[in-house]
Amino acid sequence: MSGEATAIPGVGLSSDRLRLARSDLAGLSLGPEEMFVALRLFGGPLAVGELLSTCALPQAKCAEVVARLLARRVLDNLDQIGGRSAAGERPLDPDALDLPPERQRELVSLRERIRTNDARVILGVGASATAEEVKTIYFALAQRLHPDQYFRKRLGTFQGTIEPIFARVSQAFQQLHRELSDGPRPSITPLPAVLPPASGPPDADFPEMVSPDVAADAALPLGTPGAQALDAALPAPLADAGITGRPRHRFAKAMARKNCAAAAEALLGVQAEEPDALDIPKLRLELRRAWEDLSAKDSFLRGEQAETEKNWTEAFKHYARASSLDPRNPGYVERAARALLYVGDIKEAKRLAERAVELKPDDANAHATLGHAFLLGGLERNAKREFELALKLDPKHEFARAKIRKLWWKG
Amino acid sequence: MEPVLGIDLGTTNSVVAIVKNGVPHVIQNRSGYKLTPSVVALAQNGKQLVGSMARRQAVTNPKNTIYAAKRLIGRKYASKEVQLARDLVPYEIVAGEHDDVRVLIGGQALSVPELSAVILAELKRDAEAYLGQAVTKAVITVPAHFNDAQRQATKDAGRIAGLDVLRIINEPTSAALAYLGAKPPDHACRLVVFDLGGGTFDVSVLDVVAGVYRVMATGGDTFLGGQDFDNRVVEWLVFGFAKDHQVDLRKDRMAMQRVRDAAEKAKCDLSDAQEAQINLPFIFSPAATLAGGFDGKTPAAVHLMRSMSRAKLEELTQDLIERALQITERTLAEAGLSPSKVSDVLLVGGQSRMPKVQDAVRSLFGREPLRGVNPDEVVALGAAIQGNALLSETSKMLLLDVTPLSLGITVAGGYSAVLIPKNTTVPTSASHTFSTVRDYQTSVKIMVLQGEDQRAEENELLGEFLLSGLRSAMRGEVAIDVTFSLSADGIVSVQARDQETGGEASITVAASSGLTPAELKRIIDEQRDNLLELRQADETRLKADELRGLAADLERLLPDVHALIAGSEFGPDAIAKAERTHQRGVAAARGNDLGVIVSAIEAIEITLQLFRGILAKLGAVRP
Repeated sequence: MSGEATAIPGVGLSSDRLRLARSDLAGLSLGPEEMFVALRLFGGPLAVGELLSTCALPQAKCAEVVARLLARRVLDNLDQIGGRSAAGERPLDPDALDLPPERQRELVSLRERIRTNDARVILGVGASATAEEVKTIYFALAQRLHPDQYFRKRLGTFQGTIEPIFARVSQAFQQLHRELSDGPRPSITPLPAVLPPASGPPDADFPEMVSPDVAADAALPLGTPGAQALDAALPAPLADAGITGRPRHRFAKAMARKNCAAAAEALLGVQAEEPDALDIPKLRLELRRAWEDLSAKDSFLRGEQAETEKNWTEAFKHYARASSLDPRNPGYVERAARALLYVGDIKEAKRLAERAVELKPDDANAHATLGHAFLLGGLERNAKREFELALKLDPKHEFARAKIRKLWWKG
Repeated sequence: MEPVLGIDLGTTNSVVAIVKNGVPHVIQNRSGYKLTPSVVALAQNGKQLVGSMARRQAVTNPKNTIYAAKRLIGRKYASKEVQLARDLVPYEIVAGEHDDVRVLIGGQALSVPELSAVILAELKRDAEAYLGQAVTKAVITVPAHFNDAQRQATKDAGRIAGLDVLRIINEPTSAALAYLGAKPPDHACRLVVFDLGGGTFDVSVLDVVAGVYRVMATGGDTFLGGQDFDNRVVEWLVFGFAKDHQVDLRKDRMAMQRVRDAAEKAKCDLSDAQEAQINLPFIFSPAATLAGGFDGKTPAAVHLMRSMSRAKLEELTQDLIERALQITERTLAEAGLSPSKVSDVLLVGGQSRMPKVQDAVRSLFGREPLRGVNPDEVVALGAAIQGNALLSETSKMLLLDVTPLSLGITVAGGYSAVLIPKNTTVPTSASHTFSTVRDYQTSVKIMVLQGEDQRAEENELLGEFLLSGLRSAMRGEVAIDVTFSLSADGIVSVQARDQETGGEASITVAASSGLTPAELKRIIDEQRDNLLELRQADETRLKADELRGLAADLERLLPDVHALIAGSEFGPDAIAKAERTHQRGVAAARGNDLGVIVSAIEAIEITLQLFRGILAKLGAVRP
């Protein structure tokens, strides 16, 4: 385990875990200090180091008491059980008939180890272990502890514990093995930073995944770097001549004029003036929405600019940002889809176009873009259907008309 | 230890195996074959037929002959796959009460697990006949990328058939177990199993060290297999015929069944030969469809006669093989391996016999695929090995399998957020923190999904539940921990917990096979009576055989006795009586009334005794 563990004479390493071996403390005629230490372990095993450092007794005194208790077998050192043969052979749970005592002890030790986040500690491997060594250790662990090895066996109190323990061991192995072996491995597909709100039926209140971006946004730390970034992103002048008066009043005015920077500044004032005001989160949210709205429009304009320069990648980036800030705007998604078609990611473009159609089913542009995506993806029949829909919604849609004609000639 | 059956419940054929004295082997069915066709039929006389018997009468009874039930098991009626299958099969598929699939057989709508159970029960009886003892435990295999509902439905089929299904395991993994089970125990390798079966394609990458089989990645397609190859040939034949004769054979169920059989046979022949003949005389009678009957000019019958070259078959199926290869490459990438790092490639499944498939695999991996295993039997053998390993004390074998599909929940906007990605070793668990999406939202709906699509609705919905009583707050302010756990036998449980209040809700996903627990119980009870019927049928068959034997004995003795007693003091009616008894016996043996058969046996036995007595008395018994 960890290298910092220090040896304590008569007790063991500071990382060793101690456990109460007897439950009949009252009948053991323990001294007050001994009783005090023993009771500390009543809640479950504890590392020696932790026990010593949190004990009200002086460390040396405490260590002495622990050593005495260990000698009297009132306590067990879980990590040195192998060394003491007499205690080592005693099963922890006499009902677990099909689980040998040493397995039981291993499971108890693992039950503690899996609480950490360090895969190496869980697997019990050194810092220098190679991928191959890690695999060997894991396979050996699996041979001993996989739930299948105890299929329909009598496990007593260990019944429900083997599976979660092994699950955690497996996870630790997969994580460490991936780190150690080269070659890219697929992981969880990254989700869009800001998830669009549920557009389903009113009762479908889905949870939202908290990604770091969203969490940061949700708090919108005003007057911190976040607010500066916000200033930079917005062209509106901070000092608007018309916005004066008390902070609350200034806030309302700034919001009405869609001057977010001024509103943010005013909100800081409100906060300073009435720190206990209950509606501050609400105001903050209002501001955040207004800011999102403005930024979305700004991004959209930048996207259009990039589009005129035929820089499709850049255009997509801006449209995607606009769309993530204002996910309900079908125009943003549609333009993002269109730009992406030129970038060449047909599959994703199709997905976005479908989203646009879903948001606004009577939008000719959305249908035309979806049709275009189908066409580029080789699904001509679907493409034709979408173009026809677009033309039906907007008989003057030249793009759709041209494509239909072309498809018609192709047969 | 009680024996455990390993059952490969295939799309076209099923196989049952068992480990005896540490050695796995395939059990022959009572007809003496190792493969039992996965076909169930209701014959015209109302008898239930299974296996080759059912398959043989498919041509004359296409509507009541159910094959390829595996393609329907655990699916929703509205699904694309089922709708596709409806056009391809001659029997009728209807919707059940909760969007599950029912099949009409003899006017009765049966669920798919019930149909599969008939096959499983047949295999169970074969095994019992072979072992001479009752068997209740089994491990059944499914394609690796079967989803939870399909696995659950397969398990239900086992329960209906009276089997205690210890585990559902993946076919490619099972094949690997069987293949490497014969190797020395310290054998280490990186193995790819390429399993192109009758209806499905699977590919798995395994890392094997000293008896531990770790699946690194698995992939596949539930609608890619031998039957798709057959369908290509069928289409080619049908369209060719339509061109020549302006007749659409697809409208004629019986003709289609013949075409399908011929297509499959031609496909198999082309694995060895360069050219195959397809010869279906009298496939269609144009004259019979005339309103006024035969007019003498319209031909009475048209025949379908074509020859097909191996090159033509390869051309027709090129894209199917391509698809299998693409899936293989993707799976290798998911395992983080390049084809050159693979040490063995194992071909499994009947369709992998096609030379072109073998060529494609050979060129992808740059090595000769392994032979020496029977692609039809290897999966069942592996299942038997796994069943044995689960219950045996001595087996050193351990299988570390993976979840073939990602598990996650629906999040705002209809997206799927994956918690357990595919190819994670089971058992496993995972958790993630989510938050509310609206202001003052006090409850969240957790919809448990399985599948790879980013959009929630494209994935399989395993179950849903509500976590309510959240603090009324701004969106994003309430944190909810969602924890998934997946047990070694594939049971998914999901728990949601409000970090602040500690309020919890959870679900254990089970029995989403299309049958509700109540329905399942009813079916199992009914099936128990049915099983009694079947037992009785076995008994009847046995007694009828005995009766036939006795009748033959009597027939042999009759002339002798007749000659001996002619003119003696024995009444002349003795012979006539004996003849009548014989006739009655023969008639009884043809029927299946156990009571009649038993009484006929008694009557013949009395007569035989009498005759033997006469012959002994007159000292004229011939050798």
